[in-house]
Amino acid sequence: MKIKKILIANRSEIAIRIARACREMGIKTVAVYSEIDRNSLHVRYMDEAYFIGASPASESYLRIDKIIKLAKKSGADAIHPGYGFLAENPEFVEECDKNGIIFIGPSRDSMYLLGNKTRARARMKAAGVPIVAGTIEPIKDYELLENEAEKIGYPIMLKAAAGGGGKGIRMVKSQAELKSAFDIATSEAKAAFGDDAVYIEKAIINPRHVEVQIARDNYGNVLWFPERECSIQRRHQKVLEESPSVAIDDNLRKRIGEAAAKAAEAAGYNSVGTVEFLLDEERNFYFLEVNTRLQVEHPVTEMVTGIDLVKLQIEIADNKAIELNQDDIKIQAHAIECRIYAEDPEKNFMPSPGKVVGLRTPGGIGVRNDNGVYEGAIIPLFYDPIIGKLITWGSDREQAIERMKRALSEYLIKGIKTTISFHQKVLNDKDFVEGNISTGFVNRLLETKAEPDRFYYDIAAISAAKYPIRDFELEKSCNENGAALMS
Amino acid sequence: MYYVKIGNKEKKIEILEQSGTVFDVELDGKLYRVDFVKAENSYSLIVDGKSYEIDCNIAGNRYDIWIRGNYFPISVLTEAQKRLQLSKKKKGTGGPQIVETEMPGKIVSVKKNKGDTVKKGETVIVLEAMKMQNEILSPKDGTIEEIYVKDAQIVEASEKLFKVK
Repeated sequence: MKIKKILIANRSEIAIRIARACREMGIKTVAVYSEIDRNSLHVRYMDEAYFIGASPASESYLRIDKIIKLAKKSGADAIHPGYGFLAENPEFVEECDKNGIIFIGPSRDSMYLLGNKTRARARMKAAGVPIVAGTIEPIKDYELLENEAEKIGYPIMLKAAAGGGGKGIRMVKSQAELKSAFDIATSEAKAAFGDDAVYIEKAIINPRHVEVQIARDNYGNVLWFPERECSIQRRHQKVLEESPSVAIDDNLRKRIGEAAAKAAEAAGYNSVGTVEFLLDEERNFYFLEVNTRLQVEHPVTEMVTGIDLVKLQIEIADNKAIELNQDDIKIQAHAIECRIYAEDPEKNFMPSPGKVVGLRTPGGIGVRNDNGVYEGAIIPLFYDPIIGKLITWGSDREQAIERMKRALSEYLIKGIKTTISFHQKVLNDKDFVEGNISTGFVNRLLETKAEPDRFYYDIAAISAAKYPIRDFELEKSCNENGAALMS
Repeated sequence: MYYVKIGNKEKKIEILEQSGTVFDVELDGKLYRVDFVKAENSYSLIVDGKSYEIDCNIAGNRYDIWIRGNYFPISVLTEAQKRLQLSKKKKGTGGPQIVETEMPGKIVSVKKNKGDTVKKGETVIVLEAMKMQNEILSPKDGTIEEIYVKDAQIVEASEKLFKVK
């Protein structure tokens, strides 16, 4: 192995996930941290740690210059970007290349190609991967957009060409809504990506969001993994994922997997990555985009197949050939992941940063807990609200669901609001249990106000009786003392 | 007699008898015998033979209670506190109202100035936390009497944002 030391240019749970793989592989780890993260878990976990700047990401985790400098100073052979921050920034890959540091991810050119949604669509179309009907060229001109929308037919999805992570996406139901949607989408896209070009796709009604994990090495060996179902989303961002999908049988799994492998080949991809698809009600699938990074939900695939994707990713970056064959990838379990966000599900998922004053994590059979906090840790307001991921698996979907419900009932995080209670609602929902889900699921669930077990209300009220009990005891001891004095 | 408020539900609670760790508790007229044992910030409750692990955070008369992953924010009022609250409520919301932050964050923009008239539900301040922008709305029709924050300021939870009259 050429790679002996890796700088992990990220924080929280994903930094720790990567460092865990490194520790198993005998690779030294280097943490970087912003001002507010001095006491964060990733700093404590790694072998070395260096300060990179003030708390806002733009002054720390997004500073290419500082990260490269620290990688050289610490003698790291490679940089792992995690997800978010610099993970999908081709300029960062270029800087790593220039400085002789291995970037753990795809090549600069492959990332550049796939980073732009319209470029990627054009390449996939040429390679014969099915794409959603819509425009291929990026559009900046409103009149052109209006004509194209008319041709495709409403409803349409309006998306930022440079987009990702659910930002800059609008559904437009009719021409009357198009102008204001265009104005908002272009300004959002400009602010988020520095590029205001958009494109449109025919909206697919009640789609499922299904994605295929792939791995491809520098020698053209490619693997596809059983799909992940990611339809449970809020604000176009995933909150719960599972694998395999109830909507996909072996035949479709193979077709969609091979399409994903073809997409990876067409893009000259050389790392682990994810090809996202939409699945319509007739089970047709359409290419959506490629995430050129390790994804938040990768543990689902790891628990289903027993393969360590981070290790595989590091080996590919180390220029090793993939030793596994497609036949080695088998569905060994059903797995579910619940993303634990520092958010208040009762208040429209409003962020809830703060101090974790109490933490008790679930355990037992079939439970994996990837988290980035400890008791006493601060959840800063500067970064993504994800604080951990809870993964359960079982021999079938029903067992994985029962385990997840049990694990969530054991999970306690005090001091901040989290999505734990929301996940319990999802797992108890009839539609979810029956596998009857689409990307509109969360909105529908939020409209139906499910309440916690009614009986717990009385127990909760009794639990709050400390005040009355103290007064009662005080009064009692006064009376007893009074009686003692009198006698 | 005490009043326990869980969300918008209110229950009356009274402690009737104690023997060691066992209390007789009356909740909305229903009797419970509760064995109440405490460790740091958590209780073991045995209620008529049924066992519960309760986690709590207590700040004054505010309780955060967790039971098997279910979360309950609770406040407990004495009869005197309850009367005080009722008389306050009668006065209504006619007076000036101060809007505070519900979470820490950074002020992205202040949309209104002192003296501006606002409608109920109109955005006064945009607060950013964890990459999400949250609009802080006016709770009523009126005039902005004071703005306590400025652009780019970092605010803590429960910090005053503005006063509307």
